[in-house]
Amino acid sequence: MEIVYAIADDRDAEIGDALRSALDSRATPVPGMPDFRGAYEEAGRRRRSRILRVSVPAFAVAVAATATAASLAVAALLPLRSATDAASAGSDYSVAVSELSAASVQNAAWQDGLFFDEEETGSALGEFVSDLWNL
Amino acid sequence: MRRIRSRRERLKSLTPFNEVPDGELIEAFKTGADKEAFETLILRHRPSLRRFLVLHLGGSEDLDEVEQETLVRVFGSLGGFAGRSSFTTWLFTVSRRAAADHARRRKRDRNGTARLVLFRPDSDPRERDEPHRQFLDAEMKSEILAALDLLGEPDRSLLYLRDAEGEPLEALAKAFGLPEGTVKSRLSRARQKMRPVLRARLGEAE
Repeated sequence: MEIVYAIADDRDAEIGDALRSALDSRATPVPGMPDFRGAYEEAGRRRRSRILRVSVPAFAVAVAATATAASLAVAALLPLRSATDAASAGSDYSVAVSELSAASVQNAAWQDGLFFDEEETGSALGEFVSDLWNL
Repeated sequence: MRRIRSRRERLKSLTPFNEVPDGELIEAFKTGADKEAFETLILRHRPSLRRFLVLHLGGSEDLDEVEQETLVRVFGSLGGFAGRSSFTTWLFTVSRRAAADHARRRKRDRNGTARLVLFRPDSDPRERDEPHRQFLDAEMKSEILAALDLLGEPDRSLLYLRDAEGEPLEALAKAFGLPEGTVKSRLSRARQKMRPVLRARLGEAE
């Protein structure tokens, strides 16, 4: 197989070579590989610690507020419902607490600039709320 | 059978660690089949990554810090990398965000008053001891870096990624959120600004 080399694009090779050479003079790699694994684990520990510090108070407030609202609602409904209905109301209540806490935590986390992007925020929040409900 | 190979392909084939494609290393990292896959991938692209970070940070001590931050993000997110772009396009996007976050933190620390001057005219003392880096003389490198500084973003990054790293126009347009035509016109303007610097210096040398 014969291979023919060709510049098959619109790049300016002269400028590219000059940029590489000039930037290399300031980009001299430091010896060894950065400790990205250790830094990643440390960043994770710091982030979890900050999530708990920032979000637990917000979560507690959310639970209290929702519990009050739900109690009032349940109290109003109880005279009209059977024991089965009350159990259903309890189920709705837990869903409402879950949603409100997630929104509060998310808001607190974004305001505090804890996350790099939305995808990561969603994932971390999912784990966080899930952990709380599994406690 | 004749096969035309682009200059990018040829350059890539000459780089070290060329036995295994990026995609295979990423898969090996994801599955845990090769514990060294991530290091191999990073070693391959580290020189390009550091050059790109110099574009955003100059030759400051922050370079090592932001490089580490970039690698931490890449290490944490590579499992979710879907391969919709090339690894290098994705790597440059992650590093651009890390550099921007770093710049924002710095600006907040300094109360946001001073303009960041990336490249100072004095040559870096490190390069004096590295004759293999003397493709251009130190003075010319300083002039090129100063010209780059004047280009501003995103033109500076576009020019580097296209002309030095060979990133496809389509990928650049997507990564920077610009129409392909806009990327082309920005590149054209940036080259027009850089060419006189190069011509003057290369002309003198001839």
